[in-house]
Amino acid sequence: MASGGGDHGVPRRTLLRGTGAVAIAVFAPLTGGGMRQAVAVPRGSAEQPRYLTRAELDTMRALVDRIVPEDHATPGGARSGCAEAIDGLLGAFREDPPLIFAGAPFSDRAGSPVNHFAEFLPLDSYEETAWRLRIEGSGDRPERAFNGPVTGFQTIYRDGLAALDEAAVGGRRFAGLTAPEQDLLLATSRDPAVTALMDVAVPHTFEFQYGAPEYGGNVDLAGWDYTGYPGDVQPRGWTREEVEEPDRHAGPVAPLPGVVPGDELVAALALAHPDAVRGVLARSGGLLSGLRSEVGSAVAAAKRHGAGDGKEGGSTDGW
Amino acid sequence: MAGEAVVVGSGAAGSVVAWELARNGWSVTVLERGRHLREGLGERPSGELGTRYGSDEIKNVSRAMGFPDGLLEPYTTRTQAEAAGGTARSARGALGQLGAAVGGTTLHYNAKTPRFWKQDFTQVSDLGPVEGAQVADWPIGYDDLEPYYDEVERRVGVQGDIDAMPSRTLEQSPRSAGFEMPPNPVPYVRSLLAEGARRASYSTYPQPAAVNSTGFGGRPACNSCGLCSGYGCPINARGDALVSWLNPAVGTGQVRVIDRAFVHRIDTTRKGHRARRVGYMDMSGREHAVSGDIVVVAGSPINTARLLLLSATAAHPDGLGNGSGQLGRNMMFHNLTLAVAVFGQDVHPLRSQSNALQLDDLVGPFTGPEVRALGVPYVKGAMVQVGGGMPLLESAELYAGLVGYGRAHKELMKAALTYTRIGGSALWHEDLPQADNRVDLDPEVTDFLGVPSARITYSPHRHEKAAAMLLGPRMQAFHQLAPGAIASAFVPYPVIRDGATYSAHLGGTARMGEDPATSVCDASGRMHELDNVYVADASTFPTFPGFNPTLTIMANALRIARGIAGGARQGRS
Repeated sequence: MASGGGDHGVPRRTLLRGTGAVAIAVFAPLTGGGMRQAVAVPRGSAEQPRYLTRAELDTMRALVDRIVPEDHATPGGARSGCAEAIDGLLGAFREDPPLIFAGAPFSDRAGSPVNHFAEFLPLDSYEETAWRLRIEGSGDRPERAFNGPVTGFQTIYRDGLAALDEAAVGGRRFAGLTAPEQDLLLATSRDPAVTALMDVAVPHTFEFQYGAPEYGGNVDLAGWDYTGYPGDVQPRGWTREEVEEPDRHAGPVAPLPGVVPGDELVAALALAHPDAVRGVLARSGGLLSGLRSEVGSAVAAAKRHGAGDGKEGGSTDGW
Repeated sequence: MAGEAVVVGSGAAGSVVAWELARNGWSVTVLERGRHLREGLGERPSGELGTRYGSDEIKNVSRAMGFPDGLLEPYTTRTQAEAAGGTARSARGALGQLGAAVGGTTLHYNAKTPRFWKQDFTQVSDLGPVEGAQVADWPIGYDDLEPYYDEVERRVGVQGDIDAMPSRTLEQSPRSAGFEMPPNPVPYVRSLLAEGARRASYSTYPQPAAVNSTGFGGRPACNSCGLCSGYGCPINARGDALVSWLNPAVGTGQVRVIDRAFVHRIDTTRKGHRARRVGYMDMSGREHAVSGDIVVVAGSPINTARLLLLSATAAHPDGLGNGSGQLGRNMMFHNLTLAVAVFGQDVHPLRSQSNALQLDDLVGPFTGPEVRALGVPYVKGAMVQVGGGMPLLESAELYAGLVGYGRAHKELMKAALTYTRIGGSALWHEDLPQADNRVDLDPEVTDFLGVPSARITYSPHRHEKAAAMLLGPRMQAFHQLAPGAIASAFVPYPVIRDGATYSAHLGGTARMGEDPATSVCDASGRMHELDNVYVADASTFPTFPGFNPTLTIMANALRIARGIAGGARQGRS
């Protein structure tokens, strides 16, 4: 089947119903070294995507590798499964339960013998209505357009990926461009379909790269390995000594990354408070353009009011 | 005399009311727009309830399980200036940040439980009026609330250390006893920031919190996983409203909870003196009604105001019980001023119960010439929660706002700063009540059932901006003085933004007062114009001091419910 998408194909949930929950999980490919745990992930594959066509999935893989680029030491978004995970979100309702909320309370990464995350939670009708609207849009269903039409993720991705392929010059598709060409195209495109795509694709890629692997990304826990992030730590938690004392084994820390002026970075770190970030997310709608605007204005103000970066070089106009 | 009660909302206020009324023999129906997230409600002890929560950033933050959906139940917002210019709204979505679940926002609250201070109840008497604000004394004092504070703390299980509390804190919020449990381990980064505070002549102490540090109530001790605010506790170590009040209340057999009940109307008798029944729709839009002898509204300030405004009749043309014109007004948020220290070493700020230290030196009031130079008669700041970090995915979103995507973003992620090398703090600004900061009904935007959405018009007062500029540098100073700090900054949100910061702390919209001309409810929580409708949530707060409000919401709700159960009207003691 060339097209896994649209509402015309046989829903996978119909095919899989009755075969048991195990059948919907495929094992992530065990590539590379240093993986801590193979995780059963509910996602499609390059051969059989859930919603996107195979050609669209190719473009998607190229895109997520620009959002999280591979480098000499660490995998990018493609090898980490982000494209397949986004496809899993777009086709979330082809599974039962839908792939929206992972299970609870524990994964098997911190002391639980059972990975509860791996079995997704059934939705109630409110949650199903909300997530169908978000993913499928209002379409031609007026009862979903009570505050005007809603363009769903499926349409945003399908139109945006097509626009990327159309914008690729020289008879190539987006995936056939070199990485610098892809970066240039993304940075310079004024196509509203591309802008809308990036508004959702960037946050989604980060979700899957850095979130729990049960959602289909973060394959081999790559996103937690190269960031040194411990991941979910329940039910083990931390001991009194681990809480109260500095790590005896902690090595020297790296200088602050020079990819952004130090005073801007330190100002942004002042926003690194869960309640503040919830506000940023609420006001931005979680969209890339909104995030840029929200954080940009806060950082500019903090710089005016004296964010300093102390001893680590960079701009020091506040100190 | 026990009767039948309808309670709208099952959060911090509604759960307490249901418990107290049920204990006194009332039959209670609780209507909740969110869903059941804790399997076994009313059938199992609180220590054995199931949960849908885990330490999962995608589920809890990105996909906001247990929150109202921004598409199905949008709020709209605008600033005062936008309203004056005729803008109907400038934002739409999930902008209130409060939860929607059986048990309310407390299922994923940070569970910090400071008390309000004595001075907070007599502000206009002590400090005088402020131009452009509607500062008012409370019709009750600290002494009226104190026994309820004690009782709530004992029931939810609060950890703390009375011996570490500053003398002024204890003078302003006197306690008859210590805490149920000792504090959690003090995390390393907070020890460093506490030393910075000491060098700045400030003092810190373990923040009281409804978090188990030992087994309590059949539930285990917190193991310092660090994912608290916005996350349900996967191990059930948090004293939320559901485990503390609602579950035992339902267990009495006197209380039924109807979830996914979208309440849109309180029907009144023809002359408008009494509520007859509460109307709600289910998910499919089918109409239902529940009648009772009394109605207790506890939907949190935005939703309480929306419901009362939706319930307008010929006898109440501007909204139920709104003869004063104050219903929906005085909407208050806690704006944030944030500070951060960046350390030259790994200080693992996420390994702890979150934000575990409190600093009260910036509460105020401040009245010196430096304050008057800012154009306000006084500044009241807030307690500061000291020393948090941030998990990975939220960090990724924050960095997306800073640098977008690509290599620069990945380099920032590899640097691991937000959970290894920072200690961040938040000052939760006291927000003065203003007539023009208000909730009304959006003229066009509706929820998925076609009911008008709440619209919030909000801008911080000059007082909050002055407080941020006065106190932000002091916050930054003690962060910079922490041993090992190599950089620091502060972000004064009230100065940056003319709109709300959505800090998940909400107050006002149905203020209590003695005068029906200037307030919506009396001291007992009963609406001045109705014989049998009470408001029990933070809507009743006349002012919004800079402390986490949930403990005071519970204590005040218990006071109101006990007044109903005992049939007594209460006033200043």
